[in-house]
Amino acid sequence: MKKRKPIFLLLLFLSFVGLVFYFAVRLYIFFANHHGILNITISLFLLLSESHSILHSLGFILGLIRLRKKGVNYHRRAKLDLNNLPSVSILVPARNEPLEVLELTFISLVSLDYQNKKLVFLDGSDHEYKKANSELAKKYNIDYFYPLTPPRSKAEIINQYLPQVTSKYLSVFDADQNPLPEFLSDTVSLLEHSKKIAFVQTPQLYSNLHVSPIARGAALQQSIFYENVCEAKGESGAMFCCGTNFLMQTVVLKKVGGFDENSVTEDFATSVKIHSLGYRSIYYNHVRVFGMAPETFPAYLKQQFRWSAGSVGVLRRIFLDSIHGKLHLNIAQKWEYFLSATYYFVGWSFLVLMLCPILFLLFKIPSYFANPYLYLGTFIPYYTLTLLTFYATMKKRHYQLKDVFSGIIMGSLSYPALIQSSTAAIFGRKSTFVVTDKRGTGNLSFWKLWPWTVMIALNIAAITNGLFHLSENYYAIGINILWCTYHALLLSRVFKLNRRPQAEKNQVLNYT
Amino acid sequence: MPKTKITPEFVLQRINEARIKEELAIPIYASHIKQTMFWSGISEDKQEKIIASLKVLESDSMKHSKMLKVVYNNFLKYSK
Repeated sequence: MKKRKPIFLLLLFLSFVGLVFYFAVRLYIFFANHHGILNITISLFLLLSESHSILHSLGFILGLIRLRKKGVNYHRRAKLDLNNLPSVSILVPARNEPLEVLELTFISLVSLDYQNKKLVFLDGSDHEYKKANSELAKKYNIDYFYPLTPPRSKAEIINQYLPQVTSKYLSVFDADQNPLPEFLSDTVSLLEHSKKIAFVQTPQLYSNLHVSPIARGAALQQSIFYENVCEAKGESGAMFCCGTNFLMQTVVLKKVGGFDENSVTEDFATSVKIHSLGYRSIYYNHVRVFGMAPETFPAYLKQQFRWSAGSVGVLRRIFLDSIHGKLHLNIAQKWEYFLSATYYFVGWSFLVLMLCPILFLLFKIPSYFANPYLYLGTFIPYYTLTLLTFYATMKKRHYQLKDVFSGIIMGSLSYPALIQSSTAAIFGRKSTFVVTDKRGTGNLSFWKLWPWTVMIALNIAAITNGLFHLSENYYAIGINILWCTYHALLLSRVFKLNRRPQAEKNQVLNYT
Repeated sequence: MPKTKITPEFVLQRINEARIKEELAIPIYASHIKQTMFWSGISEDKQEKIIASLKVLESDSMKHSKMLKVVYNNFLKYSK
């Protein structure tokens, strides 16, 4: 990452000041409220929701500030002896994946320009897939592993095979990830530099953007995460493993007992254990792998559900382990893990932010309103500067404004899945592991869209009622009408995103 | 990495891997690059040139793949 220009640093500083100032004003407004228990309760929920947004904006800005000093290619590397390359096992765990998807991955793995590698296909598929899958693996000289007992998760099948791994390093690729030839030669040299580095994570770049707006929006969301957020985490030595496109020391994974099978985000949970042992991790922000985004709305929601359930579940365990003195992370790592794990409460945050203007317009709750000059004088700078900062970072990486909004909209629309999963996780209830269906499970029926349609209807009702009473308080009612309009327009995107994607031609590769 | 004995099977495997790369992997990489190039920040006319170059690469790769098939068959025939 190149050094930041002064104007960008000024923007960061102003965003930070605007954020802190707005938060201080919001606290003041809350504590100055003496209008009864109902008003106080709703105000508290609103404060918590806004605090969530402020916290994560703060995390984003602080991460950018920390990165300002870093130059390009600041990772140290060891020089590899081509006659004595460290051994690497490449594992591809998969379950009931289409053959054509697997074949593309196998071709990419065979084409890696690293000689001392062993390729293994960990097949967790149902029995009817076994013959075709084993023949495909054989076609490309890839070892085939079919467990005796059906695995319940990706973590389980990897752990079942792990005792057989004798190589110095291991790498995992999801079934739809296609690495470039230099993936291993780039990553092995990073790990060879120091035994204290447990693993190196590289980004996922989705390339099936043109299939559907869902795939494009999901790709944008991933880009925001991998382009900026992960770099900051890597700089703190707190980059967590993302489950695919990484290289790890085999001895470290075995030391922590393999991947954590008690979490649907086994990678995230295992990373906490690894960092707690004193190891560091690297984020290598160069695309070396292409993958596939979920192409349908149901597939996208399933993916978000899993990530939310896993991350919030780890938050609960981090909290309990901290109390029992089992967690040995430094301050920066604790901060980064806290941010990552709490992010998925954004579903609740968005719901509350939607409900508050509706409650005011329909039921006049809360019955008071903050001084307009105080509120707008702090909110507009905070919101504008934060959005500008966000857009400026993405523009540096050639994303357009519409792309940035696309990612934000996608994130907002997943709120029902995030609410359901995060609630289950915080109470320690386990969610079932569901494979992200890259080939599409169609779309949700109209009745299943009720979390969005009900909210759209409530917003419309609130806007209508607000317009009738606008003359009672132009400022308070007008502001809330604007918010309801914004939310209604945002939510209405669900109908476009829920459409079936264009059918793809299956690519059957005949290699003889 | 222990020194590998160069056997006919080893050579054939390497030729096969080269064929896979030329015939199958290059089109995969080219497809991914074409799909994601709009995020590179490169101007559209330069993107078109790159895509044209990728097409040439794909075409050349097919020729290399055919040549490698000939090499494979000849090696198999003469190594017996």
